[in-house]
Amino acid sequence: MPRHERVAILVDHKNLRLTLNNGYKVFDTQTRSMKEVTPHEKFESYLGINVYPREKKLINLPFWSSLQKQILQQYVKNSFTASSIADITHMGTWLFISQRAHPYLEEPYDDEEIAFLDLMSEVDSLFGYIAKYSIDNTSRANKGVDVNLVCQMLLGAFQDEYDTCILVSDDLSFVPSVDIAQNYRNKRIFHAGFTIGPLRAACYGSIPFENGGFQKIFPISPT
Amino acid sequence: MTKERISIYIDRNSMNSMWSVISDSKTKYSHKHNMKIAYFKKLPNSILKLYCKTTGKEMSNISYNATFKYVGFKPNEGPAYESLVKSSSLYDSLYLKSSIRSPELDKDSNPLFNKKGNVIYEERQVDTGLVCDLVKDAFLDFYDIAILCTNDSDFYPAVALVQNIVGKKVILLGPRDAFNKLLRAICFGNLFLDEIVNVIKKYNS
Repeated sequence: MPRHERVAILVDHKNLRLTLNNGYKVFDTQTRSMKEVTPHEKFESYLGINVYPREKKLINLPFWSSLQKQILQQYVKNSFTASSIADITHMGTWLFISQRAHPYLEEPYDDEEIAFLDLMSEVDSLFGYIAKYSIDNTSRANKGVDVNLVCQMLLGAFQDEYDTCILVSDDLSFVPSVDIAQNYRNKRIFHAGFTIGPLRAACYGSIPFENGGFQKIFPISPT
Repeated sequence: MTKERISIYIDRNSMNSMWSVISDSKTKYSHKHNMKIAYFKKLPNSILKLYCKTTGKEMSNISYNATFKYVGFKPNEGPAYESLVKSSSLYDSLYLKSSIRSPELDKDSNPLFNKKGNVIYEERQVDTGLVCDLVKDAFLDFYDIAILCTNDSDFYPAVALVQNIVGKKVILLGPRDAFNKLLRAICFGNLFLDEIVNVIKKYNS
């Protein structure tokens, strides 16, 4: 009987959300230039990812509920180390979120932010995500999130808490940590994202989201 | 008694801003300092001396591992990059970790500009490169004390991990009046950059 493979999923929330809202780009071999791809016009209408108001927030919940399951199933398809979903043990899904500084230090939260934080707390309590907040004092995107994710990845690698880690992000700043986890501790990092580039090249394997891969994985009809 | 092993990690981008806080107009930190070999030689030594002075230890009781310097370059800074690589290769235990920065883009993939009209470049693999090496070296037991030269609160989770889980000490080096409050609260100790500002003054001329 094959040994159980322990799989952890790390989701860079901000990067995923920005990619889903703004679309992504692929290299077109015929015109030799970057081509913008937004298959469903915008993912926003497709999944309701960036919809803050309270009435629409339920649209988001199916996405978050299916994210873990679908990624694990896709991982089993793409990897040759696990042949079925019974071969793997899911160690947890970490969700890295950047949050503005605490209200009593800065301006108080507005309604949109409160709704967003409500949604996130609902997501992690309903579907078993491990939400990790990093405080964002400035308007800079991804502040603190990348370091938080890197720490979690390296901690898991060096304390031997996973065999395979699925990284849901397109940020190039994770390349050094991927190298270290793979070279020093023989872990496998899978890249789940939209862009082909140095990050995917550094990773052991990939779950491609581009060219309609994301729609196959998440067949949720717009409501 | 075993010697304390010390590694120094420098984030150049925040080092620049830290120097500009403490130095007056005459001793303003400029890009030239990155290219001077004498400055490279002097800086780790003076940091170690400062550490011994503040903790009351002797130089014979500590062993110096290496200095790691993390630099993000803009694509048009070719000559500066080359001279930096040359100078670092002349000095033994200085390791330069460089990455090329790319311009920050808006939704329509046009570069963003700041108030002065210059293109904003985003940092890539500078923060995370430093964090990776800090955590990796801690887990592999390469140092006992890490001296961290930065002013960026992004490093908070990394310092927490290194100190609370691995059990190493991290000491923060920064300007006396403009320490990062979050980092200063969590680090084991701190050293004042103001006391080694003379190093810069000597090599400014």
